[in-house]
Amino acid sequence: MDITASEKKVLNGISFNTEEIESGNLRESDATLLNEMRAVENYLIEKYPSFTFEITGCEPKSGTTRTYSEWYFKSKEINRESAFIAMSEENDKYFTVRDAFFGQIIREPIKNYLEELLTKANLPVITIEVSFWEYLGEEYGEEISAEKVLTGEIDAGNDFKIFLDGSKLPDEDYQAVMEKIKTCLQTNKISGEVYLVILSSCDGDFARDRVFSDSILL
Amino acid sequence: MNSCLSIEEIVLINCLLYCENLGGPRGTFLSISQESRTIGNFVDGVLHYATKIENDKEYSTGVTGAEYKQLMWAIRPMEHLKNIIIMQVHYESEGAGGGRSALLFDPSANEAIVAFKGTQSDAEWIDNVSGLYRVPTEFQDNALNWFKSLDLESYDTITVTGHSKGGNKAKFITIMDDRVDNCFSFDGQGFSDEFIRKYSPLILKNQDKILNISAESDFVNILLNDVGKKQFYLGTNYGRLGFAENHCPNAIAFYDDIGEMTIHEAPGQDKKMSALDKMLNSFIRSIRMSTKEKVANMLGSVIVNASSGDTDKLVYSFSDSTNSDSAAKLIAYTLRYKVEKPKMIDSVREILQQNGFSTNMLGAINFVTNYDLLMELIGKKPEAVISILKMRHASDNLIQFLRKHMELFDLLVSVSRKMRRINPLKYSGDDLKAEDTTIIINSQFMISRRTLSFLVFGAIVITLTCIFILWLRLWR
Repeated sequence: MDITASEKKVLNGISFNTEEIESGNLRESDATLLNEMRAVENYLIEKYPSFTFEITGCEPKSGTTRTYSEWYFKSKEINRESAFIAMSEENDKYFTVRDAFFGQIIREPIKNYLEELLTKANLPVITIEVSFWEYLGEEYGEEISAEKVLTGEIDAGNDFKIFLDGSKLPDEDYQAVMEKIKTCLQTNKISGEVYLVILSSCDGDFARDRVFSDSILL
Repeated sequence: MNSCLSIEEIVLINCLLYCENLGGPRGTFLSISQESRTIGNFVDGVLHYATKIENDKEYSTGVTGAEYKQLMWAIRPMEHLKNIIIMQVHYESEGAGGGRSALLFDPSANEAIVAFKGTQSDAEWIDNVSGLYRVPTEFQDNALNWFKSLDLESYDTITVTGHSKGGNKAKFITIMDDRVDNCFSFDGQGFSDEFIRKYSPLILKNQDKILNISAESDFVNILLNDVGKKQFYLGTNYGRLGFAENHCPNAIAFYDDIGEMTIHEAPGQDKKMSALDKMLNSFIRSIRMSTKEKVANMLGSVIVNASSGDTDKLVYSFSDSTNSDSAAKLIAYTLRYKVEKPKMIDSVREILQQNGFSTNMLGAINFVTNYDLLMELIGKKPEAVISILKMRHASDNLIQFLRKHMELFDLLVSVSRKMRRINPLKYSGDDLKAEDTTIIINSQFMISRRTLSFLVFGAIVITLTCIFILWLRLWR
């Protein structure tokens, strides 16, 4: 069996059968893992044709309580230290794959939209971080709609971290600020969870200079 | 050590690292979406969806939903722990086996806490055992590279921690990077003799920063040589998973009537584990470097199948053609060791029984010990061996077991052959200490015996070359 160098590297990290992997004469269990790895890679390529991917590792389900394996991957187009994760689950010899890479496509427009919205509401926004709890399958590719995600029509598990400049707030009634944010976002039909962090000043450290933090469920 | 974290807090942090999908994706601690949140916010979020957590379901190896809820309720009144901020969550992007870790921040002490989760899958053992023949392992290097990439300048104290493989990574980083102030390795395995020899000056410099926290019957911390101080804790022994439970991160967490979590120091390591530790050390030392990789893979495969609780799988991992020679070495060594230290086999029997395995295999092994010459002569004829066993009134269970696993006979013949060539007392079972492999010239200068021997060898070669050149010139 022809196996690329990067595939060998991944397999060697999850199998004791080093010699068989090097010679390409895979055992059944390793051949299954290779099929799964290729299925995940094909899924990513088809789902996100503008990006190039490399699978760098795996935590197989074997030995865990999970029903899926986690495949770690990188994208050449995204410069970040941490890997991305795709989850694959076997169903009748086919693999159902889900991933969180879609966040890279919609994060920026959502962040810009929220910043605009909250600034208009006279909230002293320092920055907003957007992330998603859910892993989505092949039905949501590069064309995923940021609007549908924001409103919850596509359930991506929206999570917004809003950092505000406390020195520009009229008073220290942070509960009132939370209410204001909640009303503003709900009025615009935005769904998800907000984690509000109020810093002592606009150039304050995100961890050291916190004066308040709490969650808001929209 | 100057960390402001208590051991209870360290244990709880390490338990949190394993939280996955508790009541939904929000209940995964090592998720990038948790960045900037506090531990308190994570715990409140999980408890908000507590009704969605199934009590009897195992959410990570050995830890049920009910146990995780207990853990969350225990954290709720712990203000210091709750105020710790999750600064960065990292998914391993280099190397093959995955892995997750986090940078946490304790604002009350300006302390950075770098925590490594132990990978949970069977694949964990591939890197665990590669520590026998590779210095350092790929996982260790990856962890160090990520640690070095972190901006830790502004912190007063730097603490690293981790459970299982995560504990080993934490120790490795402490040895290799002088910036670390404290290391709490929870049930983490040690390092090979080669590692200790290679890095002895660094180990000597940093080992006082390391505290090994282990359940008294944990079976992972016994692997290879420990570095740093050790403290054992009583295990809760819920009894659900038997022996395997001793390695669960919550294995040492006791709760009182109001849900407060406590841990209790044990007088020392469980004697069975201590005996197994020594035997494994001496066995590993008896293996040549050239065959260590094969032996390591066999050991890993045996451990993975042993933890699955499936006797057939365990037998397969011994008799499989790739492993059989290494497995024969291990069994032959164990049997010879048993002759010298008879209590050892009792420990193995007890461990197998606790883990739900058939101990019939030990019956067959006992037979080999007593009749190794006979086994070598007629072992290739399984029916003849079975007839002799029947004549000697061996138990029906043993006969049935052997009939079911005829593939074991080749292995047993190989074991009989190897047994006579082994001297189990030749190699020490004690942990190798950096002090034993280092020459201290003064408090500022240390040199490992390994480096010194290279230097002396180099000096001899250079001197001989010079003498030869001089002799050639004089001769002309």
